Amino acid sequence: MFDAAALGADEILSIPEDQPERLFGSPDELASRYRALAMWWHPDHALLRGTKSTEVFQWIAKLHHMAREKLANGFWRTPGWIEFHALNGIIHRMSHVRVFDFGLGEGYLGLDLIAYALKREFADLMGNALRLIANLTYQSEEMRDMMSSRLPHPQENFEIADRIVLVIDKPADAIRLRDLHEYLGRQMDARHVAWILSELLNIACYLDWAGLVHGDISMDNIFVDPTQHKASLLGGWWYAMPAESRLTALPSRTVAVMPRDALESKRANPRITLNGIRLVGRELLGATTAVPNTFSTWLRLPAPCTALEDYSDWQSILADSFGPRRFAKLPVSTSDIYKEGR
Amino acid sequence: MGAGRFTPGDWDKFTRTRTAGRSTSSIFSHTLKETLDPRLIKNGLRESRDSAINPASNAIIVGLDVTGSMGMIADAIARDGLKTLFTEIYDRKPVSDPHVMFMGIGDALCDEAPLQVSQFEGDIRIADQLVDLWLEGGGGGNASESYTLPWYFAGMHTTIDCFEKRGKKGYLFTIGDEEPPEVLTRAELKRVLDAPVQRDFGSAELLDLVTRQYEVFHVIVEQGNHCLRGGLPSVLKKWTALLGQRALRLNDYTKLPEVIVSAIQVNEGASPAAVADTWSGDTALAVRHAVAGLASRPATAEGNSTVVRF
Repeated sequence: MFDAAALGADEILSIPEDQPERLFGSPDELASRYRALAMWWHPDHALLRGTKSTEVFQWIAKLHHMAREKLANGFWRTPGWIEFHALNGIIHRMSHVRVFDFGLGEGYLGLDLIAYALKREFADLMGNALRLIANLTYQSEEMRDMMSSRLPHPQENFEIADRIVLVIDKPADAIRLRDLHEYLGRQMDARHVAWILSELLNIACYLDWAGLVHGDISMDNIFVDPTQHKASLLGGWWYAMPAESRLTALPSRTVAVMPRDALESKRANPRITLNGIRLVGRELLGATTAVPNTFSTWLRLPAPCTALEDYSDWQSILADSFGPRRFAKLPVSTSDIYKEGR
Repeated sequence: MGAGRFTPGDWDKFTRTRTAGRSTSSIFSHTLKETLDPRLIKNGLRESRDSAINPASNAIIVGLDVTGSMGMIADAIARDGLKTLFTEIYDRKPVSDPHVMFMGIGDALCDEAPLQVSQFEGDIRIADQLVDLWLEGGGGGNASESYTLPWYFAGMHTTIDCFEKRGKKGYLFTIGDEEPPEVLTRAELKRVLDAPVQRDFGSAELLDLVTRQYEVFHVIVEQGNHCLRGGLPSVLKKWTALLGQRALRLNDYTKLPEVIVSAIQVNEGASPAAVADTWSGDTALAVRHAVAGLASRPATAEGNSTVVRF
C-alpha cells in the first residue's frame, strides 16, 4: 500500500521532471498515488506540512502531467524495467542494465537483448537498417559461421506513439565497448585495442565483400567478449549504406573524419568505415602512453581505399608493434560490468 | 610552449639587434639548425599549451616556402611582418592568445632541409626561431614544393590545447608560388621525418588528416617567379581544386600578415568586404584580392554526435 506520508518534501522536489515514474511507480498506480500525494501535500495543510507544501504540491502536479504525457507516448520506465506500449495494443516489457542516448533516441541494454527506440523523425533510417540487415548474405557456410554472430539479429520491431523500436539479440557474454572502456577508466592497453581493431577490420572486410559501408563505427555500437577476443557490430545500422550509393545521413562524428572525396561526391566508400575504425582505436587508447610508434602512426593516418588492403597493412603493423601473436588476457566479464545498480 | 606575450618593446630590441641594416643572408641561418629539425623533436611532438598568461591559446602555423626566391617572404616577416601579425591579432581579436609556429618548406625530393619546424610561441622567442630558418633556396624545378609536409607534421606531430580542450581548430597557412604536390611518398616521409608509414599519401588524404585539427589555407604568392613565368593559371587551378576558396591569392607579399589575419577574421564569421574595408590604401586592395571569395565558416555540429543529413 502506497504511503504518501513516507516521502519528504526535499525527496519529492529532487525528482527530475523527466523521471515521474520514480514518484508514481507503475502506470496502474498513477491515478491513486497522485490522489494520495495531492491530498497529503495540499496547500490547505500547509501549517502541518511546513513551508514547502505549496511548492511540493505544484511539483507533484507537474510530475503527474509529465507522467501522463509519457504514457500517452507509450513509455514507462522504472528502475531496471522498460514498458513499451505498442500502437497495436501489445505491451512489451524488458529488463535492462543500461540506458543510453545514441543521438536518434534511446537504447536499452539488457543481458541478452538490446532495444533501440528511435524518434519518429528518423523512421527512414530505421527502415534503412531493417532492409539492410534483412538482406545480409554470405558467400559460404564458412563465412556465415564466422560472421553471423558478429552481426545483428533482429528479434522484433514495433511502433509506439513517438518512437519506432527495434529489439535485437545480444550475445550473453558481450559487453558494450563504451561500458568496458568506462570500466577500465577510459583508457585501454594498446594490446587490447589491437585485438579489437583486428576484429573490426575483419568485419570491415566482410562489409567490403557485401558491398556495404557502415557509417557509425563507435563504442556505442560495438560489443566485445574479452574472454574470446571477439567483437560484434550490432548497432548503428541506421547509418549503413551500399557502397557508392548517395549519402543520406551520417552522425557528425563520422563526418568529422570522413574522406574528402566522399564528402564532396556525397557517395559512400569503404574508407568511411575504415576511418571510423581508426577513430575508435584512438578513443580507446585515451591517455594511454605506452603505444608503439608504428601503431599510433597507423591509427592517425587516413585509411587506404579497401578493407583488404587495410587488413593486409594491419598484419605488418601488428608484427612491428607487438611481435609474435600472443593472447592478451583481459579478465573482465559481463557480471563485473553490469552488476545490479551500477 | 607558448608561455609569453608579444610586446612592442621586445620587438624593437629584436629588430635593432637582429635585422636593422642587415642583408637577408646575414639575418638567417646557413644550415639546418638542430632545434628546427623535425627528426630531432623530443617525443616527436610540438605543443601549444594554455598558460596563465595565455589562458585560451590558439595555435597558428605559418609555413613559408624557402626555395628559390621565396626567401623574400621570410625576410619581410622578420623585418616588419611579425609585429603586424601579433598586434593585429591582439587588436582585432579574431582568436585569442595566439601561439605562432613557423615552418620552412622545401622540396622533399631534393632539398637537404625540406621541412623546418619552430616551437609554438606567444612572444618574441618566435622571432628568434624565425631567423633560425635556413633559406635553403632549393627546389627541384618540378613545379611543386612539399607544401603537404606541414600538413603531415601538423596532423601527426602537434598537440594543441585549443582543439584538445575546447574543440576549436588551429590555423595552418602555407605560403608559396608553386603547385601542390600530387603525392608525398613513403620514401620521402621516411627521409624527412623518419615516419613508419606503409604507403604513399595523396594530397587530399593529407588534407583529411590535417583538417581534423586545423583550418587549412594556402596563400599563392603571385609575385613569385613560378607564377610570374606563366605558372599562375595552373597554380590557381590545382590549389583551388584541393582547397576551394581557401586558396588565397597574394599580389603584394609584404601584406602577408594582414592577409593571414583577415582570413582568420572571415573564417571566424566576419564578412570579407567588411574586413577588407578595415584596412587602408594598398593593404585594403591586397586583402580584398586575397579574401574576396572566402566564405565565412558554416556552422557545423561539434561535440556530441548529431545527425547530418545530405
